[in-house]
Amino acid sequence: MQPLSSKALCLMLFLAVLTISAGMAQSYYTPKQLVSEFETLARGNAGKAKMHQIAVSPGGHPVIVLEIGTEVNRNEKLKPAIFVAANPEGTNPLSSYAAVKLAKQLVGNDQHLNHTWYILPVLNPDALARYFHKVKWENPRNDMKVNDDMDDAVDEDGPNDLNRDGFITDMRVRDPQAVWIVDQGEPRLMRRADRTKGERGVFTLYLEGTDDDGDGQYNEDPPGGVNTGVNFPHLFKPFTPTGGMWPGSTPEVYGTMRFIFDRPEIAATFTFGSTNFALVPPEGGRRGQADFDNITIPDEMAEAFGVDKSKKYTMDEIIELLQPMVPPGVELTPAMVASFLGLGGVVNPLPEDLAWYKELSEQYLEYLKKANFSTDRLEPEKAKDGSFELWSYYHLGVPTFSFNFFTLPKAKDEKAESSGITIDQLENMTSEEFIELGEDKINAFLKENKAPEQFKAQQVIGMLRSGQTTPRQMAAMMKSMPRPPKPSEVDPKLKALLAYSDNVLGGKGYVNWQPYQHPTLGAVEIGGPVPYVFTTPPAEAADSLIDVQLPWVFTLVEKLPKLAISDYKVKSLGADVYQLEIWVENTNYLPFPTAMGKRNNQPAPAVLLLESDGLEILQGLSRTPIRSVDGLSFVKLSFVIRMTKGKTIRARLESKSVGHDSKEIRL
Amino acid sequence: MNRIFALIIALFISGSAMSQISVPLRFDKYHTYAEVNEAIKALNRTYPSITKAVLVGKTEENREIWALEINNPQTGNALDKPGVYADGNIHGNEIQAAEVVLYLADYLLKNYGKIPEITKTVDRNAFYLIPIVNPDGRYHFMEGGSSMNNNRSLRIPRDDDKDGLFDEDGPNDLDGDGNISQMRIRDPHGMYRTDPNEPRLMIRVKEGEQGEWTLLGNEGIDVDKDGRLNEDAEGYVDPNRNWGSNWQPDYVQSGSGSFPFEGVGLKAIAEYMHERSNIIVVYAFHNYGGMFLRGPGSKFQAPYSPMDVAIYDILGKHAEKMVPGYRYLISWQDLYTTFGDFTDFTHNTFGAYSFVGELYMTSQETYSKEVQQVEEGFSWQGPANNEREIERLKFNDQLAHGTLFKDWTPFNHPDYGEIEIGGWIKYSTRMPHPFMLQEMAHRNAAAVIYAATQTPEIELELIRVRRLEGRLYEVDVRVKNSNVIPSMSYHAVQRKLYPMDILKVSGASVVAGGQITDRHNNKVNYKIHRPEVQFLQVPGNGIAEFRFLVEGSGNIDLTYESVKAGKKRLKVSLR
Repeated sequence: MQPLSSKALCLMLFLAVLTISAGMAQSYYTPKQLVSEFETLARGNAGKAKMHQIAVSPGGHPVIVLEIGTEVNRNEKLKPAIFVAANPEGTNPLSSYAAVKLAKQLVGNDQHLNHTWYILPVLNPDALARYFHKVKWENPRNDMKVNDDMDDAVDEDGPNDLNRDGFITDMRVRDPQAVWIVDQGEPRLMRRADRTKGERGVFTLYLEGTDDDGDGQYNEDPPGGVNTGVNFPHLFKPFTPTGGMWPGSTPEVYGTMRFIFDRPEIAATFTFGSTNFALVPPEGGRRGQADFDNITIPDEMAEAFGVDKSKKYTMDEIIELLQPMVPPGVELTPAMVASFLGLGGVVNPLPEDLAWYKELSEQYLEYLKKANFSTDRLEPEKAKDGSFELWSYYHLGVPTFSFNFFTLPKAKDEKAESSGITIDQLENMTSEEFIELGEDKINAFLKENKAPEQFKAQQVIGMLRSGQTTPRQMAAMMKSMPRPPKPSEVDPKLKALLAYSDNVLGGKGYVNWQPYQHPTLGAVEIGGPVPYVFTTPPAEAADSLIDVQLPWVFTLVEKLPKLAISDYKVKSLGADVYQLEIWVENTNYLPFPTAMGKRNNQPAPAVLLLESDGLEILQGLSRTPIRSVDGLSFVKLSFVIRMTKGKTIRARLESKSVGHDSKEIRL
Repeated sequence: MNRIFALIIALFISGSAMSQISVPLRFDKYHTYAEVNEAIKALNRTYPSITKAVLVGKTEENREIWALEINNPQTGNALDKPGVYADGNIHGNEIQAAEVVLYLADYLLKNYGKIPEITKTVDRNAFYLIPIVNPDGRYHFMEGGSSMNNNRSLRIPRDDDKDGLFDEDGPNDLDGDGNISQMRIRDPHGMYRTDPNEPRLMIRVKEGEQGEWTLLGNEGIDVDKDGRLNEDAEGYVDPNRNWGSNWQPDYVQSGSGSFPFEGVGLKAIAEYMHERSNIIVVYAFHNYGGMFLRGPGSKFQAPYSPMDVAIYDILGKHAEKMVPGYRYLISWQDLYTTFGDFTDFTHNTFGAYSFVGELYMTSQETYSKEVQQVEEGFSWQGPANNEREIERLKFNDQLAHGTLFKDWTPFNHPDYGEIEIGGWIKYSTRMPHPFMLQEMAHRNAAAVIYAATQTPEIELELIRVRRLEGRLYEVDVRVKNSNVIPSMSYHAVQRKLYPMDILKVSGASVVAGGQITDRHNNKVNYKIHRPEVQFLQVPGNGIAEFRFLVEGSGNIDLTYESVKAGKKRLKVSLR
C-alpha cells in the first residue's frame, strides 16, 4: 500500500466521519426493491401510508407514489401536501435511496405529518434497472423503442463491453482528424488540442462498442428511448434524440403531471436528483419576451390600437390602454393580454423568488457548516430544459427545492483559484457585498469570466465605490461580452474524479487506458470514468450523506406559507350596520404564492367565508378569494354588513395548500 | 321494476333515433351526437368491405369518440397507402364541422365504383375520419341550453374566476327554449335605445340622448352571488390549445389546460394518429369566417420550410377557389397566435400537411338582388353594424322564416325582475341554415378530396442495365412521384421525425450504390456503408434516381418502402 497523501487522508476522513451512523446500506435499491420496500411500508402502516400506481413504464415497471400522512383515506385533503420526485432521470440510485429513507422516517414518526407526503421513489425505473445490469452503462433512456438513426432497424447499434470489464467506458483511437491529446500533467486524462499553440490532435473518442449494423457509425442507435428527466413541458425541446415526441409523451411523465394536478393540496415539491436548488437557486439569464416591464406591441396591433409601436410598455399600461376597447363586463387580465400579444412564457426565475432562494441557500450553507459537512464539492448540475424541477417552479407555481446529496469533492488545485461566484450571483449582489469578497477573489472572478485585461480588482472596486457602475451593470456587461473559446484544459470534473478515484475508491472509479484490437477501428484503447461514479458513491456512504442533508427538507417544509385569521375589528355604523375588518396572516417565511405562482395563477386561492343566519353583506363577498399574502405579512379584508346585534358570525378560511382556520366574531 | 321500465324507455328512444338514420345520409339537418355515431355505424354496415368503425377513445364525460376508416383491402393495407385524416367539431359549438366530415365519408362511399376519380382515390388512399372530436361539447350544445359560443370547451372543470369553486356560474336557459340568448332591461338611463329602423335591434345612445335599455349580458343568474354573471361557465380548456406541440401554460394563453393532453379524448386521438403513421394530409374543420389556415400558430416556432410552404400554397390556393369567399391564410401572421393547436401538432409531430377549415361566413346570409362580396373574418371592431344586421334579420324572416332570431320576450327574472330575453339563437351566425348545409359540406369535402388526389403516387422505373464486366452490372433506377405532395414533408426530413423512404436491392451483391445527383454529367453520390440500402425522399412531381453496381446474375429485387407513400417492387434481370 502506498502512503496516503494529506489530500487523501482528508477525503477519507470526510467519508469516515459521515459513515458512523448505524445501519449502513450495502447496496442501492433496484426498481423492484423500491416497489417492495414501499409496499411493505404501506402494508405495515395502514391508515398512514398508501400506494398509488401512476403509470407503467415502457419497460413494464410500475411507476409508484407512496402517500404518507394522516389523511390517506380522505379523498379531499385538509392538510397541505409535499411531492417528492426522486431520481427523475433514473441514473441516480442514491436519490431513490434517499426517498426510501425519507419514507421510513415519516412513517416512523408523526412529527412531520401535519403535511401529506407523496413520494415518487424513481421517475425512470427503466433507466434505474440499467444500474444493476451485468454491464453498467449510464444512460437516462427509458425502454421506449426509438429509431435513433432513422434507418431500417430499431435499437440495433448500442454500446458493447468489448474488454469485458463490466463497464461501458470510452474508446480512443488514433486518427488524423483527431481533436484530443493526452494531458502532460495527468497522462490518464485528455484535453482538446490547442491549434493556436501548434498542437495537433491525436485521439478521437468513441463510446465503447462496435458498429453493429455496419453503417459506419458507432453506437448510434442504442437500446431505449426517452429521458423522463427532460420530457416535461417547461422549455421542452422538440426533435431531440432523447426528449420524446412531445412533452409528456412517455407515460411516467404524463402520469406524474396528472397525479400532481389532481392534487391541488400540493404546496411544494422536492426533487432528489442531480440539481440542488436548496444550495444553488435556479438559473436565470435566458432570452425571453415575457418581461412585463418591457413589452413591445407588434406593428399590426399597434396600428389597430393607435399606439406608438416604437415605445416599450408595462403590462399595467397596456391593460389601461386596452380596457376601453373590450366589451363592457370583460376584465382584461395580464394573461389575456400576454396571450393576445403572443408574449410567450416566463423563462427566468422571478427576482422576488430569487431573493428567498438566496436567503435559504445561505441558511443551508450555514447549517451544513455547523454539521461539519464539506461543501467543497463540485457544483451540482444545472436544471435541464424540460426537467421536473423547472416544470414545478414555472408551471405549478409552488416553492420548488432540489437536492443532489452527492457530488465529487473538488480536486485541490482547482479550488484555489476559484472565486466561488457566478455572473448570475453578481447580478443580485450589492456593491458592498461584492467588494467584501476581497481583491483576490474579485481578480479570480474577472479572470474566470474573461473580463478585458485592463479590468483589475482594484479598479473595479474603485468604480463600484464611486458609483460609476453597479454589480447589476457589471453583470449585464459581462453577459453581453462575446465568449472566447474555452482554453484547452482538462475538464475539472475529470480531475476531481481522478483524485476521488485514487484517494477514496482505490482507483476503482476510473478505467485506465488499455489497448484493444477493435474489429473495424483497429488498434484502440479502452478506458475512462466508470459509469455512475460522478453521482453515485459506494452504497456504504449513502446513509451518512443523506442523514446530514435530508433533515433540511423538514426545515424548508416548516417555512412553507401558512395562512391564519389573525385578527378582526368590528365597528358599528349604527342601526345593525357594521364595518367588519379581518386580517389574514401568513405566519411563515415563504410567500403565498411564489412570484411565479402569482404570474401563472397557481396554486388554488385561499378563500375567506363569512357564515351566519341572517347575515346580509352590503359590501364585499360571502366568499372572498385571497390570491396572495407575502411571507410573514397580512392582508386586510373589509366588509360592510347588516346583522342583528349580539349574534355571531363565523369567519372561515379555506384553502387547498396553505391551511385552514376559523374564528367566531361577536357583534 | 323501475329499472326495467327505464331500460325499455331507453331502448325505445335510442331505437327511434337509429331508425332516422339511413344511407345515403341526409344533409338538410344537423345530427345530434347520438345520430352522428349512428351514421358512422350505418355507413359501416352499408359498406362493410371498405369501412371500419373504430372506437378511438372516451371523453371526460365518458362519451365515445368514433372514427370511420375507409380503405379497400383489395388494393392493399391501409398503412401502405397515403393516409388522409379529417376531423371536425373540436370546439363543441362548431357543429357543422361534423356534418362536413360525415358528408365526405358518405360522398366517397356512395360514389365508389360510380365516379372513376372517387373510385381511384378510395382505392389509392386510406381515409381516417373523426366527425366529432369533442362529443361532450356537441352533446351539451345541442341537447342543453347554449349560446352560439358556449360549450366549446373540454369538460374539464376550471376555476375561471379564481374563487375556489369550479364551473359554478355558467349561463342558465331561463326560458327553457334551448338557447342562451341576451337579456335586456328597460332603463331610461341605459346606454341603448330601440333602432328606429328595426325594432328588434338596438343602437347606442349618443351623449345627451334619453336611453331605453340596459344590456344585462347572456341569459343567466348570478349563481354564486359574487356580483358577476356567468363568469365561471363550463371549462375552459380549449381543445385546440391542449396539444403537445409548442404548448404553453394557461397564463401565456388562456384555455391551454394544465398540461399537454390533459384532455383524455385528445390524448386518445393523438395515440390513434400516431399508430396510423401513414397520415400525410390533415384537415380539421371549425367554424367560422371562411378560411383555410396553415401553421405555424406562433412566431416562436421556426417558420415552415419554404419547400413545404410551396406544397401548402398549391393545396391552399386550390381550396380557396373551391369554396368561394374563403381565404387561405397563415395562422399566427394573418389571424392570431396560438400555442398547442392541433394542426401545428400534426405538422410538427407527424409530418402531415395540415389545414384548418373555418367553415361558413355570416355574409352568406343575404337578402339582396346583388351577389355580394363581403370581406369577412377577424375584426377588432366587434359586431357588424346595424345595416348589415337588418339585412340578416330579413334573411331570417324571409329565408329562415324567423327560426334564427328569438324575438324579445318578457321574462320575470329572479334577481332583476321584469326583463326581456331575445337575440340570435345558437344555430345562427356561426353556421348555415340547414338549407345551405349541403353545398358548404360538398365544397369543403371536395377540398379534402383534392388534397387526397395529390398525395404521393410512387412508381419504380428501370432506367437501364449495363454490363460492365463479367458478373458486374450497372443498374440505374428511378423513383418517380406523379403528384403534388412529396413522399415525406421537408420538415419530417429535416427534423428526423421518422425513417426516410428506403430503397433496397436484394438478390445480388451490391458493390456500390448511391443517388444520381446529375444524370447528364454522370455524377453519383455513393453511399459507402451498406450501399444496398438507400435512404431518400421523393419530391412532389419529382424523381429520385439511383445507380447500383451489382455483382451477380439472374434477377434482382428492388423494393421501395415509405412510411407515408406506400411500398413498390421492381424485378430487374441482369443481362
